[in-house]
Amino acid sequence: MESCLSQTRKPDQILVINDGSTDRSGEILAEFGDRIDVLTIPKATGNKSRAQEAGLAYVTGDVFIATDGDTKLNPYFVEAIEKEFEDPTVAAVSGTVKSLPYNWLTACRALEYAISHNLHKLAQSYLNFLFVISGAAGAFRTSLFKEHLTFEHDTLTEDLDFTYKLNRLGFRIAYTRDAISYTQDPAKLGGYINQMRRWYGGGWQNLQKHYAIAGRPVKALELSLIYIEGLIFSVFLFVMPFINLYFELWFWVANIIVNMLVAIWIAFEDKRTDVLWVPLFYPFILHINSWIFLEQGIKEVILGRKNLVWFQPDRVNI
Amino acid sequence: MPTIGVTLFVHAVVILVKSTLNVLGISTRKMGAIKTGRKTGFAISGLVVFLVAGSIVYSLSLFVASGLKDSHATWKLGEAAVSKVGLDNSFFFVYQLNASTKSGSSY
Repeated sequence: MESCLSQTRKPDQILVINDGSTDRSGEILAEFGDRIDVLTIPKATGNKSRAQEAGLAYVTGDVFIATDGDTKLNPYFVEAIEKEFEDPTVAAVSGTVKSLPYNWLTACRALEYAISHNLHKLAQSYLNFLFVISGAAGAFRTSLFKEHLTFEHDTLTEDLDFTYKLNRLGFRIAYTRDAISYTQDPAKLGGYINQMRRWYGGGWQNLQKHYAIAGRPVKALELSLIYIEGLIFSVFLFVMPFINLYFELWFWVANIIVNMLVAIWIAFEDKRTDVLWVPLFYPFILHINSWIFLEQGIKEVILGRKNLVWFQPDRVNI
Repeated sequence: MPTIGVTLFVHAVVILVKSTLNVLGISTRKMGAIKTGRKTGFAISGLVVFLVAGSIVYSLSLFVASGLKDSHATWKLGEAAVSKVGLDNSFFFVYQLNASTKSGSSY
């Protein structure tokens, strides 16, 4: 809340959706008085898109920024987003997400975010096919949701669902690295695994739902890179040690070098040295990610077991 | 699931090409204008393209060189790993492929 209130460009309205919280959230929000609007939903909806749908009715501005309760924004966030919307062809904007430092696991996530935003997302924005508008740092023209989009609650990743829909409808999505949100990522392995299950499970659900989008070459290329390479990579990660240890060894050396370069860059850019150790144990995390990617693919696509229940976020007080 | 592999390489190439065209002043209107991170994107993508391309060339040359020298050489460690976990080598597809190649029979 403090980060929203201390923006260089003050938001016209701050709307908080208190989705059935059982902690002191309501009490803390009340302390902000009339500086914020609070919509209290007595019973938890169990899905972020339902909470967002409830809140949309109370949005008064022509552009709204969606973020999460475990996230804080940099002081220039609103200013940077507003700048992107000066272009009338821009329908939505994705900001950059960074992980708040806590332990080795959040440092791993910091490395993943750095690669996904500075390389993958940047390239995707040049190709005019941004794969996902981050749920913690997304901005939309309100009219889009009131005229073209509906909340469907049928996937685990509402941000990905919105982005697919916008891409299908041909709307332009911009990406800015000046609007940064700092988010609290899982600090325990169990919480991390749950989050990855939701992300990858939701990814497979959305791929099946919006498969028709692959009709255009650039989009087909991008989806192939993400999913076909993801499948091949994940399978080979577990099979390769039994085929060729020389190649396996070389792969990990190359992997550590690339990750180390990114880690050094983060250390300078964000002034945090904890990420410098990450490349050494990141192969362990990569195995977990690959296993969950395959597991969720089998569950969602082959077995058709669609899961729509959010895993309870596991957070520590960072 | 974007990985440290082809996706990273392709995306790095996209950034590099886009950044180069931008530096040269060539308009790429359809791809949208670069607004932020030009220098950083250029530097990182250049490094990644160099490293990944180097890795691919080096890996391929390792395969070719070992294949010319001794078709078994590349797989020796793999065989060791397989026998260590108690699997029968004949069960191993890649080993079979190599073995049959070495004996001159068509697989």
